[in-house]
Order: sequence, then structure tokens, then C-alpha cells
Amino acid sequence: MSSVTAQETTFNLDTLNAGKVPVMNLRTVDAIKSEASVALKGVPFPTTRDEEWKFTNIKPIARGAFVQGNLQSLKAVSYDTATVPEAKDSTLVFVNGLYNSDSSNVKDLPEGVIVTNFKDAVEKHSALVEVSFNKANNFEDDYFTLLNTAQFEDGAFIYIPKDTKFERPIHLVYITKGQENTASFPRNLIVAERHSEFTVVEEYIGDDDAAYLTTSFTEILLGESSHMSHVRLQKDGLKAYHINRLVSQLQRDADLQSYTVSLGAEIFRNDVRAVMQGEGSHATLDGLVLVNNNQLSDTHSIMDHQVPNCTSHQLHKTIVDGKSTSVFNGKIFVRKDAQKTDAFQENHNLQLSRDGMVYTKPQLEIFADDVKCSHGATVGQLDDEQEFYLKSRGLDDKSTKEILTFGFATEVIESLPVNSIKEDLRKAVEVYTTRGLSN
Amino acid sequence: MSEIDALDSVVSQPYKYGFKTEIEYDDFPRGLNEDIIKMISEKKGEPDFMLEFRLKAYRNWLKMTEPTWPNVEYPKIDYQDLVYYSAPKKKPKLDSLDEVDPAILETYEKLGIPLHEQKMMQNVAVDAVFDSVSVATTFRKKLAEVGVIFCSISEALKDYPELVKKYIGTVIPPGDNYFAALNSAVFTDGSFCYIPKGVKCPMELSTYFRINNEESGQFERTLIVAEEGASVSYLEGCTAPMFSKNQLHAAVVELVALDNAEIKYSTVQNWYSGDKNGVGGIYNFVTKRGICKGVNSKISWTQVETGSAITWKYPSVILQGDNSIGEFYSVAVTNDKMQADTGTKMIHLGKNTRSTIISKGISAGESNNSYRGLVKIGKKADGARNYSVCDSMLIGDQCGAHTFPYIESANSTASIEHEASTSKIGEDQIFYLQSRGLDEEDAVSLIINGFVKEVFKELPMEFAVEATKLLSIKLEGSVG
Repeated sequence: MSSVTAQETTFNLDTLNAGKVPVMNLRTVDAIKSEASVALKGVPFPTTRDEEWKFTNIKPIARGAFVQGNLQSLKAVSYDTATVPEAKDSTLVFVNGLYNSDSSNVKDLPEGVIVTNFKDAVEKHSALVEVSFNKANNFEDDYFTLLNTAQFEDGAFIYIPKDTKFERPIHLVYITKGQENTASFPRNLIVAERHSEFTVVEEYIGDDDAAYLTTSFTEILLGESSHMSHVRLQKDGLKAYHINRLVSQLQRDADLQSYTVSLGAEIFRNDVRAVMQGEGSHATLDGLVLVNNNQLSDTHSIMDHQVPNCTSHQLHKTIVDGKSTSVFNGKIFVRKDAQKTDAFQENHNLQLSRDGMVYTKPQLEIFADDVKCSHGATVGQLDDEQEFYLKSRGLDDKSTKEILTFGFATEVIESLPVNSIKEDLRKAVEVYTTRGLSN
Repeated sequence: MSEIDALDSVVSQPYKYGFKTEIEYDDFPRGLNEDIIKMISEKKGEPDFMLEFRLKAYRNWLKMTEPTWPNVEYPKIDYQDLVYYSAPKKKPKLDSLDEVDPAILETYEKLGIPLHEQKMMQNVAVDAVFDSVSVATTFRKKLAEVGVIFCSISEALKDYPELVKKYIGTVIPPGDNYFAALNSAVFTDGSFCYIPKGVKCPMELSTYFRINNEESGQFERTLIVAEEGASVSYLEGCTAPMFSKNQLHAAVVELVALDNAEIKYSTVQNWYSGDKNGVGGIYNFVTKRGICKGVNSKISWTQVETGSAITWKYPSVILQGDNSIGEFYSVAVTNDKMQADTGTKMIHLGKNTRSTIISKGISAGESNNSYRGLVKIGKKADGARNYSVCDSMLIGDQCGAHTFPYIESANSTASIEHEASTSKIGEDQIFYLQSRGLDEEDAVSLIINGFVKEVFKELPMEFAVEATKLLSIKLEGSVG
């Protein structure tokens, strides 16, 4: 469907890193990077004429002359790892896409566990990187995946060996600071061997005053019977552009619980995919999106049931206020032989303002007969009866709305695995609801 | 016998209406150009505005490209290899059945719809379209008494040109989409129905369409107008003879409901779907749309799609008048190599508009069945309400079921609910029924009837019987 792209809507690749592809000094990785760089030239910049981008106009991104972050900006930033006390000794900090060793703090890891930055992993654990890098990537001809693959300079590398339970959450912090038009391309690789159990929190933070671009990519390989909890917090500045891809590959009996909470960014596009390759695996991809003013948040997800006896669950909630827009496209694929699949997807949208837009498209593509697949989607307002009840108990209009909106949002937050983050998000939702209702 | 085998035998019943009547045809040469369109218009003695309408549509069509977004695959159609006009040579008079070509009457008899019997027993007016020209119309007098106009569109163009001019192309403009534009340029006949102010149509109106001339595309055009406070229930049913070459059927149906008017449009579609290997069969690319123009108006689509090699249609409702109601009830059955991409569009523009979508898809064999729907709430549609359910059932592991619902809401007072599910016939359900003494086939049939019941109960009485029969024909087969 993609037709010829007009000149003005192409992304200026030349200003990035002076048109060069950053080198990792590892043969297989660099080969993939340069391949991506070549492929990128043949892929048009997505426009609203593409079905996958129908409601998400990313022209503003194309206009920017972005440049990659530099090392100088690292010095100016510090991060207190005690912000999330559970993870104070297992935190990696990245600034403008580059690793900040001064702020990071990783110690007392169990034997065999690796929590480090990608560059370091390439040096010290090259064999591990080589066998797993780009293995789960199933984004074909996707502009931003190719862009990330070609341009990334660093990111996180996590390896959990077999039969290892890592109790502390691993906290990855990505900060964008500094001048306008900073571009960063964090690339994360997470590998878990069989019977492992761990938690990863990705958190993206940025300033409100600069328009910057984050193009991130997280790849997760889960071995047999491994359990992973994954939280992704997008708290970017309100002028930021953030495009993320997350792909996970699950082997037999693996279990992934992934939660994405999106609060910031002017334009946020999030593609999450779970590929169930081993029987008995389970994936949860939950999401909470809060948008206001001119924000646009777009989530595309794919639950790919490739083998029999897998289960998946998805709860995606959005609250739309101001002139903001929310887009959701959730696909459930059940491949030909994936019998006994049980897949469930729910999407609820709360529309608070007259000028907000909600687009939702839950999608089922089923090629096996002995399956249980369902989805539900709703768009609505606060429940009249609930409002009436609260008001009859003496609450005023404002606090009634606050309580109900908060209640709508907390369903997702309550299932998050890290307490301090839950607490932090509850506050963020409170700020959002009061802010939203005052304008 | 395993359950799958039973299901297989049950759903792979050969096409019962495969025969062809030998009568002479009065055909145009193959191909399409402005001259052909002028010839069609001239042949039918149409007023000038109609020719202009056709030519405008044709010029639009030339600029358009065939859509590729539906989830269906078919070889490219050579539009210059089609015959755009064919009519039975002896054009019979309309007041007596005796004057109709006996071969045609025989065809209807084979189909089980003898006109004279139906006339007496069913109290249904039948405007039978044989290929492109109407050959018999009944009950016209009875309808005329209350002021209802029910005739073929070519007659309407002669007798009521002003009415046709006022409404044709207002719901589906000549440049609406590729197939609608083609239809607007070359349509040869169809039905016209006009219910004047305050009239409740005294009987249900129905038309039977048949394609009978090999390789002639059929382009039906239906226009139904219900004036203020009027109401009508319209039934359309299709069966077609067996051919090996694909046939294109690109119909256009337009419905207009003014203040407090109500239109109910029901379809049972059973075109020839091709053989087991997907050879032959009808391409059913239809544009159906209704507009609830007035306040408190209502349009209801009910469809039972069991035939065609490819079905591609989205009966839609534009809910313009405040408090208007749109409904869509659909059962789509695909088997062998059939492909169906069907659903609806509910466009809410007026305040307090409501819509309901109930879609049931059954796929068997190697078929693919897609539901594609749009619910769009405009900025001014305060209090709009939509409820959608689309359920799919898969029989066998070679088929596919797809759901593509688009929901777009631009109004914060709107409330939209959508749910979809995909499942198979429950083993425990079959087991239970068998334990109560039913054989496997009856059990399956009973369960499927239960699955589609929600839609079938919306069909008018006569059709409900026919549809249930049709489904059991499709599901008929031997067990053990």
C-alpha cells in the first residue's frame, strides 16, 4: 500500500551521526547494523497512507534535523539510584542513549547474572551477544526498527543463567537532557535461560522543554520455564517523540508479564509483540495510556500463537483528555497448528473531553479451530450511576471525577511487580486526573 | 466416525440449484466504453439525466483503481471481456404470467418459487429479475392502491423520472468506490420502491435475482425510499446456476429513510460458490448503504451469506437524523475455497443515534471468513451508542477466521461496546445432545442453528424458514 513518499516527509538520516553507522567492533553485530543501514534507504518513511500508521501522523518527526547525543551531556546528569529503593544496587543509567557509568550502580549479582551495558557486553561476553542479538527481531521493513538497528550505540544487556532467581528488580533508566533535536537509540537485549526468574523495569525520562526523539528497541529471549516481569514506564517530556519496539520470544512453558505505562511524549508509538514458540507458554501484555492536550499515543500489539497450548492475556486501558488522541491496534494471531490456544484481549477507553479522539481496532486472525479467542473493546465515559452514588455520599463533582478516573487507571497499576513504582504511578495518575480536570 | 468428518460431510453439501435454462439472448458485444453505455441507456429508453449520470460514473471509474485491501484473493478481472447487457429476447408483458417464456417459469419452478403459487399462498409481491430485465411483476395493483410504487428501476425511469432523479446516487455517489462507479455506469436493471408519507407497506416486498447468461456480469441497482412515517420490509434472495467461469456481480443498493420512516432489508445470498477446488463461482462485490436522513428513522440490514466464491460487502448505515437507529445482523457461511470479507459501517452523525451489530461467521473447509466493520462517532453525535458482537466459528483446521473492527470516536458522550470471540463447536455440547439421543449430524445442526439464532430471528417469517432450510441443506450430509 505504501506509495511514493514525498521529499519533505523523509527523515533526514544525514544529520544523524554525520551519516555514519556507529561501530560495535563485533563482526556479526556490525554486519547486521550495516545491513540495516542499507535496507533503511529502501524503506519509505511511514505516512498515514500506510494501514499501520493510518491514525498516527508522524510528519513532525520527519521535519526535525536530529543529532545523536554526545558524551559531554553525560557529565551534566546524575541519577539517584535510590529513587527505586528495591533496585538501588541493580540500576543502569543511560543519558541520551549513551551509558552513564557514574550514575549506574550494579553490585552483588548472583553468580552468572550479567547486568551491563551493551558495549561492555560486546567486549566481555561476545559469544553470548553473538548468539542472541537480533534473533527475536521479526519487524520486517519497519523503518524505526531498521533505524534503531543501524544507529544504536548502546543499551542494556541482561543475562540470567539457568535455575537462577534474581529477586531484585533490574532498573534501566533512560534520560534525555540537553538541547533540542537530540536523538537516542537505546537497544536492549535480555536473555534468560531455563528456570530463571527476574524483573526488569525500563524507565524513560526527559525534559518538557525540548523536542527530542527516542527510538528504542528491546529484545527478550525467554528460555524454557523462565519467568519474567517487565515494566516499561514512558515518562518523556511533553514535546518528545518516542517510538518503541518490544519483541519477545517465548520457549516452552515460559511466562512473560509485561506492562507498559505511558504518560509523556507528544507522539508516542509503541509496538509490542510476544511470539509464543514453545508449547505451554504464556504472555501478558498490559498497557495503560494517559494522554492530554495535544498528545498522541499509539499502541500496536501482536500476540503470535505459533504452537499449541499457549495462553495470552491483554488489558489495554487509555484515558483521553484535552485534544489528545489515542490509537490502539491489538492483533491476535493463531497459526495453523496452534490448537488449544486461549487468548483474551480487552481494550477500554475513557473519553473525558469533547475534543479527544479514540481509535481502536482489536483484530483476530485465527487459523486453527480448537481455540478460545475473544476480545472486547469499549469507548465510554464515567458511569452515571457510579457518579450518582458518590455524589449522594456527599462528594463534589471534581472529586467524584477524580476518584472514578483514578479507579479506572489503577486496574493496570495494581498488577505491577515493584511497590515503589506502583506508588510513584499512583501519584502520577493523581496528578494527571487533577491536571486534566482543571482545564 | 470422528466429529471432524461428520462436520465435513455436513457442510460440504453440493450446490442444489446447479442448472441452466436454455433461452435466447439479446447480447451486446463484449467490452466497455462510452458507446456501450450510450447503447444501454438508449436501449432502455432512459431520460437524459440518467445517461449523464452513467457517463459521469464511467469517467470516475476510469480514474479509479481496483481496491486491494480486502482479505480476499482472485485473478484479475478483465473488464473488457465482460458482456454488459443481456436481456431475454422476447420481452413479455407484465400483466399476465401466461405471456412469460415458459422456460423462465420452469426455472423458477425448479428453484421452488413458482410465482402463481406464491402469489396466492404467501401474499408476497414478487418482482422477479431474470438476468437483467424484469419478466414478471405481481401484486402491483394491490400496492398501487395504497400508493406504494414497486417496479423495476427501468420502469421507474420511464414512469417516475423525477423521483428517481431526486434520490439516485444520493447515498452512494457515482464515484463512491470502484465497483459502485462501475455499477452506476452500466447497471441494466434492479428494483425501485417508493413508500409515500405515512404508509405502512401492506406486504413484504421481495425480488429474486438469477444470473443465467454465462459470462455476463450482472449489475443490479436497487433504490428504496421511505417518506416520512412510512415503513417497508424488503426481501432479496439469490440462487444461481452452476458455471465454471467466474462471474462478477457488482450490485448497488441505496436506502433512504426520512423522518420516522423505517426500512428493513433482508437478504439470503446463495450464489454458486465454485466447486471444491475453487473453480468457478460468483464474485459478489456489492455496495449497500442506507441513510437515516430524518429524525427517529430506522434502517435494519439482515443478511444470510451462504454462497459466492468471493463475498465482499459492507451494508452500511449513515445515521444522520437525530435519534435514528441502524442495525446489522449477519450470518456468513464459507466452505471449501470460498472467501468472505463482509461487515458493516455505522456512521453516527446525529444526536442520540444508536446502532447494533450482530455478526456470526462460520468457516469450514479451506475457506476464509473475515468480519470488517467500522463504527464511527462524529463530533456532533452526542449520546451516540453502539453495541457490536461478532462471533466466529471454525470447523476444521484448514480454514481461517478474521476480525477487523475499526472504532473511531470523536465524541466524549458516545458509548461504544465491541466484543468478538472465536471458538469451535463444543465437544461437551455434542456429547450432551448425543446422550439425549440425537445423532451427531442433528446435534451439529442444532448447535449451529443456535449459534445463528440471534440473526435468524430478525428475518421475516418467510425468509426465516427459507434460511433455516438453506442452512440445513448446507449442513445436510451423511453420518456413519
